[in-house]
Amino acid sequence: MMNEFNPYNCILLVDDDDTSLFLTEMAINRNKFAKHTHSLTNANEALEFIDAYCKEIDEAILEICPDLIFLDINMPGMDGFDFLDSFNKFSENRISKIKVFMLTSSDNPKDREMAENKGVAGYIVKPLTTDKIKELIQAA
Amino acid sequence: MDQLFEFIKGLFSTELWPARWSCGIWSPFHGWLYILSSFLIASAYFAIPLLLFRFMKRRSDLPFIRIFWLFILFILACGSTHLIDGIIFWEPMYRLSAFVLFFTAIVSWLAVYGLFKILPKALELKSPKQLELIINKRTRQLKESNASLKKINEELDNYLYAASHDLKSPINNMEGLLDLLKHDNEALEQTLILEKLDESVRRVKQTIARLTDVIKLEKSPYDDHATNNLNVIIDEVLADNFMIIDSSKAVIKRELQIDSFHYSTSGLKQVLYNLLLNAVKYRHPERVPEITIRFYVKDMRVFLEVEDNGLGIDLARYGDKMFVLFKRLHTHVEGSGIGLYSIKKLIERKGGTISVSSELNVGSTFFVKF
Repeated sequence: MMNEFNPYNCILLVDDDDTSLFLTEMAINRNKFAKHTHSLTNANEALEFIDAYCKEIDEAILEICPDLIFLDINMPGMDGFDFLDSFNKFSENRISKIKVFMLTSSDNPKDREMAENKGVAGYIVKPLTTDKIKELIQAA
Repeated sequence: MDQLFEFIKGLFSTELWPARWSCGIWSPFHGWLYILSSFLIASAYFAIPLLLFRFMKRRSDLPFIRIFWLFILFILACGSTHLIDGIIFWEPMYRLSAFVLFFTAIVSWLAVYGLFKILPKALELKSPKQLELIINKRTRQLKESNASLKKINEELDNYLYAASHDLKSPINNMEGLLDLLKHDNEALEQTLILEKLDESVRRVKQTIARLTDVIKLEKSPYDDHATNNLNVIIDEVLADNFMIIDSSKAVIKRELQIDSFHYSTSGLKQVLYNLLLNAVKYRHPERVPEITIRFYVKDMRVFLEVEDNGLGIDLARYGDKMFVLFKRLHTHVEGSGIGLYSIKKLIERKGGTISVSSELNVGSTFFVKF
């Protein structure tokens, strides 16, 4: 039964759109999908965040390291695909266990294919609804 | 007249002359040489039209079909004269012979006339070698236009992709917000959700306005060509954007090797406006923006350089996205992602190019070859 609530400890949301972040956070909290979330509006910052918190040996800091990332594609500057390229270069065991889900407005098959080629755990078209979260919980 | 009537009446009569064998002294060898040669010529002359006819049948696209018929008639007539010439050794049909010769003479001259008439047209016909060259040239042209069509198609794809994405995101948000409203009873959150709904509606409107801008831009002809005094044009662009430039405290230098330049006035202003504004927008927060505008001539072409000491761009990473519609490289500054795309289109449409060199945290230089 424990598994039904908070299947994830920390979820990192990377999206340049405030409203979209707000909605995703609401959906996660409502469905008790994670203990806490951390939102960043810039892919570069997200890389720095992972670099800072996921390489530590200190358990207290590792708590902040996300076990799941919801990643937008279209962001100014570094986009979601650029992020994945850099993210996949991390060799730490802790980081390689982080699941990355694309969460995007794009339902373009090319984007989906590209994301899959870059090894994402899933591809979700926005908005993140309760139904979609339920599916994720079943899969988790 | 009497002679003519008599000639026609007795066209086939042979009584008035001796057969050729009895006229003069023919050795059998001499006579048969004459006769056989005449028949061989005649049979060859009858065979040639048959082959020509077959050729005409097979080649339905043959030009000058009437001259072919005339030639068939001409060759048949020639053959008949030789045939009669041989027969005369036994049957002295000299009247018929004269008539056939006369007929052949007329057909021969008709053929001469016909050939003379079509000669200029026939000369225009391309030889297979010439045709091959033409085909090669056309193939090359087709390949080129195919490549440019592909490029246009790709651009259109990018455009539609960008447009649909920018419309979809706020609409998806609205869908999510409405869903929240339906299930949320807390008054505080409702106000927040309504605010965000307002914001989403504003974004849809903004995106539609931007799309309209792009369409206008694609249609703008930029045909107001004139000799532009560069100092005047730069002054005008600076004056139009006085507020933005003044508040940035930017120092703008001019290095003009030429005073004037013949180009679309509105196009030139558009290019300068976008490059200047970019330089101001993406200034470095820790130093006074310095922007240099250079105009010079090299290899008979006019060049423009706009150099700044701003944020710079990681070209290895973002170089290919610089001039793409709706792509923005910096997050902290408001931008529509149209500016560089639009001036690239404009410059390229007029046969020029635009490129950029840049170093992160040092600055960027845009190069325009008009």
